[in-house]
Amino acid sequence: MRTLCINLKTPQESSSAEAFLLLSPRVQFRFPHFIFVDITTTQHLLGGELGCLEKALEIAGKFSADASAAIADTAPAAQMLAKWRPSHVSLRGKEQESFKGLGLDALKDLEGLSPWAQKKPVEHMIDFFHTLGVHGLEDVLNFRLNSLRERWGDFGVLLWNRLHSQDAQIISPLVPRDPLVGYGYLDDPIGSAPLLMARMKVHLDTLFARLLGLSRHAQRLDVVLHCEYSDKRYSLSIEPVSPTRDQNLFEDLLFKKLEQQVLENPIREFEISLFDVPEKIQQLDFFEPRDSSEDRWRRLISFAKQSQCEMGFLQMEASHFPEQSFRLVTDWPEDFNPRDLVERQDQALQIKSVYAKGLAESPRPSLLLEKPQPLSAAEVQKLRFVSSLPSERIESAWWQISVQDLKNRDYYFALSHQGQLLWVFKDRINSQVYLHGYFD
Amino acid sequence: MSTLALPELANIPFVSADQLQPPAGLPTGVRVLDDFLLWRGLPQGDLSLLQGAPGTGATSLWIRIVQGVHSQNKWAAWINGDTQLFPAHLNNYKINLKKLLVVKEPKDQEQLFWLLQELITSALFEVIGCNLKDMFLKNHQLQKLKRLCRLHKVALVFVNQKASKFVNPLFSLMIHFQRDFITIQRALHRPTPFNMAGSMIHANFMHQFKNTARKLLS
Amino acid sequence: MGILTNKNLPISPSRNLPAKPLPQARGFVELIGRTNFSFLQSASSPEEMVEKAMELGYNGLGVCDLNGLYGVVRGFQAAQSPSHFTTLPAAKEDFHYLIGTELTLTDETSLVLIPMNKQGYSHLCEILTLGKRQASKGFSKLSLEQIEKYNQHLLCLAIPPWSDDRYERLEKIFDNRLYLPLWRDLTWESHEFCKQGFALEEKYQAQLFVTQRPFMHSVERKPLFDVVTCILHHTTLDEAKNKLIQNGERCLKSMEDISYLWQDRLDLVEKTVEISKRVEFSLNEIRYRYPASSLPAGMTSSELLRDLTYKGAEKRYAGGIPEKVLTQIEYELNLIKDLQYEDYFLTLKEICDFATSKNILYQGRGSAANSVVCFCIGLTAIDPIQMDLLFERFISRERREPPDIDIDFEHSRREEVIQHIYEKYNERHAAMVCTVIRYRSRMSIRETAKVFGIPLAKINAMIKFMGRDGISRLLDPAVSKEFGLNPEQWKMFLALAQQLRGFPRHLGIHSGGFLITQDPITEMVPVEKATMDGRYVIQWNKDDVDCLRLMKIDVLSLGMLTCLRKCFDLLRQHKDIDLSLATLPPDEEKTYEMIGRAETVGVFQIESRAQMNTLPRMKPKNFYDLVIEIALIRPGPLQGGMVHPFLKLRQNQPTKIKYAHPKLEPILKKTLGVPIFQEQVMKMVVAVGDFSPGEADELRRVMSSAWRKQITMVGVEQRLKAGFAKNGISVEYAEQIYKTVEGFANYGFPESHSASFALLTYASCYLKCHHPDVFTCCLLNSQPMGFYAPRTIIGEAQRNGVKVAPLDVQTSDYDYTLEEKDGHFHILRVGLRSIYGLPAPLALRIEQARKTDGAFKDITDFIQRTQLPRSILLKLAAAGAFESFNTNTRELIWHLESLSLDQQSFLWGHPKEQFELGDDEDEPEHLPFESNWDRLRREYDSKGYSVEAHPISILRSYLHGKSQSLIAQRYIPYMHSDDLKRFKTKTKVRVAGLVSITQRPPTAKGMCFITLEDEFGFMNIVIHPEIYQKYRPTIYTRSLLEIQGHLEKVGGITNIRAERVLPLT
Repeated sequence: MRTLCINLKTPQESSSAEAFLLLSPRVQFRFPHFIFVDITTTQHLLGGELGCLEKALEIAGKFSADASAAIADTAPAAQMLAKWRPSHVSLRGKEQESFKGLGLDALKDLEGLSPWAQKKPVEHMIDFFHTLGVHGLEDVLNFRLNSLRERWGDFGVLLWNRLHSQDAQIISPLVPRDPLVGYGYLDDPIGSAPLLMARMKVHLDTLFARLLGLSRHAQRLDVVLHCEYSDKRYSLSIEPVSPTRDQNLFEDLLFKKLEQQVLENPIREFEISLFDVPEKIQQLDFFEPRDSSEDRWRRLISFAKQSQCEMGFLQMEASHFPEQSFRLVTDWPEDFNPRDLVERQDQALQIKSVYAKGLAESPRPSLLLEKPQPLSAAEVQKLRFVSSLPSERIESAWWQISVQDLKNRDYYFALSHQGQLLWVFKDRINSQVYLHGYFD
Repeated sequence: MSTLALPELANIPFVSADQLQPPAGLPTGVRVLDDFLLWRGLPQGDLSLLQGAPGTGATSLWIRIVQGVHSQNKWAAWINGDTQLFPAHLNNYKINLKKLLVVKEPKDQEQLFWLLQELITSALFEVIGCNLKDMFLKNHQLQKLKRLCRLHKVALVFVNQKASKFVNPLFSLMIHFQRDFITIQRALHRPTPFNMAGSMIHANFMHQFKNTARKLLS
Repeated sequence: MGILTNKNLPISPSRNLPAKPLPQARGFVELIGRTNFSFLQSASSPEEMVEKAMELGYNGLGVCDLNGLYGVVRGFQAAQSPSHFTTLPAAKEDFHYLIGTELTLTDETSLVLIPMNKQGYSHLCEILTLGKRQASKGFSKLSLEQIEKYNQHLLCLAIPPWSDDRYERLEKIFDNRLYLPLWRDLTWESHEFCKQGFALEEKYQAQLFVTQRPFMHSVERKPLFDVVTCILHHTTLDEAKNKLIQNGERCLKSMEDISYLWQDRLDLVEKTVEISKRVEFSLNEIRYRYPASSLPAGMTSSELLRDLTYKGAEKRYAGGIPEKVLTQIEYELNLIKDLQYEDYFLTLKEICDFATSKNILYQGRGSAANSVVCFCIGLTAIDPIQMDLLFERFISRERREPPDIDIDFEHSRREEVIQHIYEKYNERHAAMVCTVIRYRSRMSIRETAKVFGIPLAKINAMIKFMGRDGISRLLDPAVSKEFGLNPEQWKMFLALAQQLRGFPRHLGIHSGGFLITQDPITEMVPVEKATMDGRYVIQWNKDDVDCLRLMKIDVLSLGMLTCLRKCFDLLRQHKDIDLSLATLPPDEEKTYEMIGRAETVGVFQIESRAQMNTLPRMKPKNFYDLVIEIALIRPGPLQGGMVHPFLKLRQNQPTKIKYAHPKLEPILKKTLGVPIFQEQVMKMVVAVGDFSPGEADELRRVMSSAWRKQITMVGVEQRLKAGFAKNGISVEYAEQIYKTVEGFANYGFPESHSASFALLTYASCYLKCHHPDVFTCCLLNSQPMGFYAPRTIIGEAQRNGVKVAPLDVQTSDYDYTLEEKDGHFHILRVGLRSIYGLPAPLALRIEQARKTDGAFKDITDFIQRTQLPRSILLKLAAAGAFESFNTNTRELIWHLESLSLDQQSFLWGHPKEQFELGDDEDEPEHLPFESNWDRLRREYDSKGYSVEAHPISILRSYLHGKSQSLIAQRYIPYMHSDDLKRFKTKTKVRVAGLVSITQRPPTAKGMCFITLEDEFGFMNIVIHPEIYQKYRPTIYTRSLLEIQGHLEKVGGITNIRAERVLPLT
């Protein structure tokens, strides 16, 4: 069994262990700042034990500046080495060799998952060893179990077991319970966006590290800023187009929002909460691997959406009326080519014809007006029609009684005075002529 | 006083003749136009202005350019003015709707300017078309856009419905669409104005019309 | 925009008339008309298309449905003889009606084939049969190569989109018989097709022509076409989107519109007339040659028929053939000789001989009964001379209609007859006639609602609310609020549902119609596979076959024939009396007396409640009275209000009968001046309403077809009234006659038809009167049949003194049997078939086991020898079949549950706890004692009746208790059916009984009739509509009812007019 112990030096909440789920599912947090990871089965995934060590230190960097870590067979030894021999990897099965050169005080840290009940008995033992002239930890190894038992009873037995890696401590898989929430209290309230952003960045790092560990995506990020002098609160909500773990996209969007926010008075405290969703592997198109352009495009559309500017791709719809035959979608559009429905039974066939499939190929103007614009009789007089026979007649939606829109149209091509080729239709019910598009 | 340390004569990178060629632009598919223009098409990394009343053919020129861009599997973007780009028209031109980003009409000029910057800096697009009804940009904004375009090698095309006689030097290509003919008001290193018959541009434009129109008329 | 020439155009876009009148096309034929017989792909019927084409002044119309010739005959009929009663603008005299079909090929292209002559037509039928034979229903498998084999004499109209190589291939096959249709229906797709067409014309000199590709006959039908398309695609109108047609232009337009639309190519419009001239084929060219039956050496069919007839006549008229019969025979034989129908009679004779050889009882029915020849050669059993029926009704020279002989066979053995026909004529020469299953009102409401997106729950509520009176009940807008729809949409929805009614949905098999031909049948009509395997059906239904004068044979079935044959067998076996239909003693006095007493439960035709009501007043005395009685209680006379006056006349036998018009005297003499039969109405209409024979004949056809149109009926009414008024008949009498005609349209009885039924009725009455036990036994053996449940039949038999022995495994066979008991006295033994859910093979296994090795010793022996599953054993026990083993049925059932019944274990058949030696004697004690009522309940659940006692008799003690308390409170006590005779009318009555029949006939304007039964007899309860609405749930859920009302005694019939209907227990 190989255990990695990370000593974060600064007290943390238990939820910080979630960030280390990246290394292995068996992670356990021990107050005040120790995290034990059982990497026996998963160390080959991360490039061996050294790889694990570096990855652990890199993640720990997000939680505290000077975190240290070590790998040993059992948890107590790993904790002791993390403190006294940072980034040390003990040999498999022979972790006692790595005790050489350690002072007796290291015994205080030989705790593992369950800390010493009180510190006093350890100090007594250390003083007693000193009186015996024993100063190195490897000398303590030579004592036999019975002698420690006679002298210190159960405590002696426990210590001997931990020294000789007999104390079996099983690290159970971590069940994430705490919500992804960050809270910051500013002693000196801040009013400027960049400074606020810097203070919030720390919390964002831990949140996104935990998110990475849980391998989930963030759908929405809510930030609530509490003002210093009044109980006024600003709540900002960042929502990219689709759930993602891209931290700097969130930071940019947050910063953009902060800039737009006019802060009346400085901020005393802030809460950050992250809404996560399971990861949705999106395989877009078999021949088009997810390249960076797709991320850049998502980023662009998220920015536009936040500043209330609609952006997307054109998705063709099957509908008789031109204005309903397309809409803007933020996701990949499917291609649209209507065909008759043919049912085959070993060569015998039955065709259910789609009558209006020809609409997709009919000539349509390149620019379509938002709403058909009624033309006055004078304007119609000025137009020159290409043919007195309508080029297309569209009748539909006769069953929608409530809706008052135009249901019965004759479409014509017309040439305007300035040589514009227009797409004009006459409503057969109120015989009013409308301009609908330009063959630009 | 030590002599000025000049680099060795051998390793001064002299410019060869072919390097002096102007940067190749986006071909428009209209042979007459391509032969005439410096960049054999639309200037890449520069601003162009197509003026003309809606319905005189400005947008279809832009569509032919996008057709070229899509044949090399690259992206294009379009910003709607008061009228919308209609996909039914596009699918006769082998336009890949998956590679054409369309933006709804921006509310005000400032948002339009911000949007253009974002589109250019995202370095996704080869050509960006922008349909303007009357929200025209100020010169300093145009200069900034010009610089960004040059940096990101993006061709920015403005389609303006209100034609103005004043030739703005910021645009390296200006084309004016009238009833039956097209005048190129400004093109770098080319004698302008240069008039062309409209039908040459529309030779195979609106193919549905060419003979059917005759049919309809008879 | 130089490309557009700037010729100035008429500014106003609407089609106003230009200055100089446009050149008009001289003529136009719509070659590709599609009717609603291409199921769910068109919105107009063939008749509508033809009438509209005539109205618009076309030179002709081609009906081309998808993959079939389903609707061509209806169109032909509409084109050939427009109905007399609907006024039509004079169509062009040379209106050319074409037929063809649109085939979808396996490469998803389609082309229209139109036969040019008779040979082309048989090729077309061959192709269609080929396409349909290899594919399942609704599919078709045809490739161009298969068509190439049969391409001579066929015009090919290739439907766009065309490609060059497709055109070349078609041209190689059809060369100058290939045409390309063009249409302009204001869609861009049609523009593109026209462009392709003109390009082909230039390149290959292709022959083009103009069509409108119509799916409907007028623009108003577009909403209905959209609904039909949604039904085809199983979507709602909102989701259909581009499945719906773009506009309503796909319809028949006026000549001006067509000329305006095609002003640039008018020659193409006139080309259609030229094309239609190339087609000489018309449907009446189909010559029908009847298969020459196997003639004995040297005799022609007419000689054979003559000698068979005379041989038969000697047999029929034992004492010498009367003079009248001889003249009639000669007359009929000569007529048959001229019209060459001999083979038809000989084939039928051959089928009937096969039936008699197989001892299958049969009887001719319908108009055949009018012919002496049929009577002599044994097809029918009615002597037309004696009944002086009218031979013209069967075969008339000027009508030139083929004879229509329906023959009924025993319904259990009809399959053998059909197999015989298939073997003799193999499927190349024989196929069954199809029926067109149409949208009835309930189904059209459901489909239209689904299309409008109305949720399913509401649809069911609507249909439940609609009940039986059809769409009319939903029509008032108030109803729409109840279903939460806004009124206009509701109106639109109902209008469309009503239009959808009558549209063909798919093809079904006609119950018995057979078409037999000399030359292969596929040369005359396409044949396709029916859903039932091994059966082939032609694409025309019986009206089409009649219209084209093809001879079909109806092989129908009657349950009563099976029952009579079993009676004759039993009589021969038990009472060694040799009887047959022909040798029954005619006009037996005792039988008519029984009929007069209305004891006709289980008898043929006259057992219904309404009949029982009129029998005492009618008191039929002879055979002709029976004929009248059968035809009397029918919607025709009922709606015409003819029944009561006739009965009144019947009862007081007036000497002088007054007639509305002297000419009516000969017609109505036999029915006391009241028209009852269909022929009488027909004769009256000709004699007095000055209808021509042709009109009278069409009236007969209108009266018999279920799908007649409303306008024809209106036309008939005006014509009738005008005719009568001219001849001085009073208006209300004319109104009465019209009501009768309308009633006959629902269901009318011709005299010959009711005559042949009357024979069966008389036979069944005779047997019921003289041999009740044999009659009841056979009636129960041929269930399900007739009007009453087994329990009523057994109740009636017990009242007539027949002893009924309960079901017993030791003695009962599968069928009900008669057992000899001390001399000739017979006991009816209940058969195993009476148990619900007991499959026949298992019951036969019991019978077999008992017959092979003797009676069963005990229950285990029974189980081991019959090896029946536990569920069947429990059913037998519950029905009381194991009485002989152990009387206490409950204990027996408990015992059966405990048996281990898996065949493998050697413990099989013995109680499981064989080895636990615990004493289980005390076990049966705790079983509760089974009361009579539980016993009765168990028997009713298992087989529907109990032989021992009538439920009411068991309840009688309970009822007595209750009536004592009622008398104490001065209410009326319970009475039973016998007491009713003692009271006079209007006395208040309280009655209890078991419901045997509940009836609410549509003709009775909402009245409801219940027959209550108690251990003494029947009681007729009449419930008026308002009371019916109040107690509707009780009536339909309870089987034991208590009725409070008062007595009504009218002319020997006692009814109880109910005021309150309460559940009994």
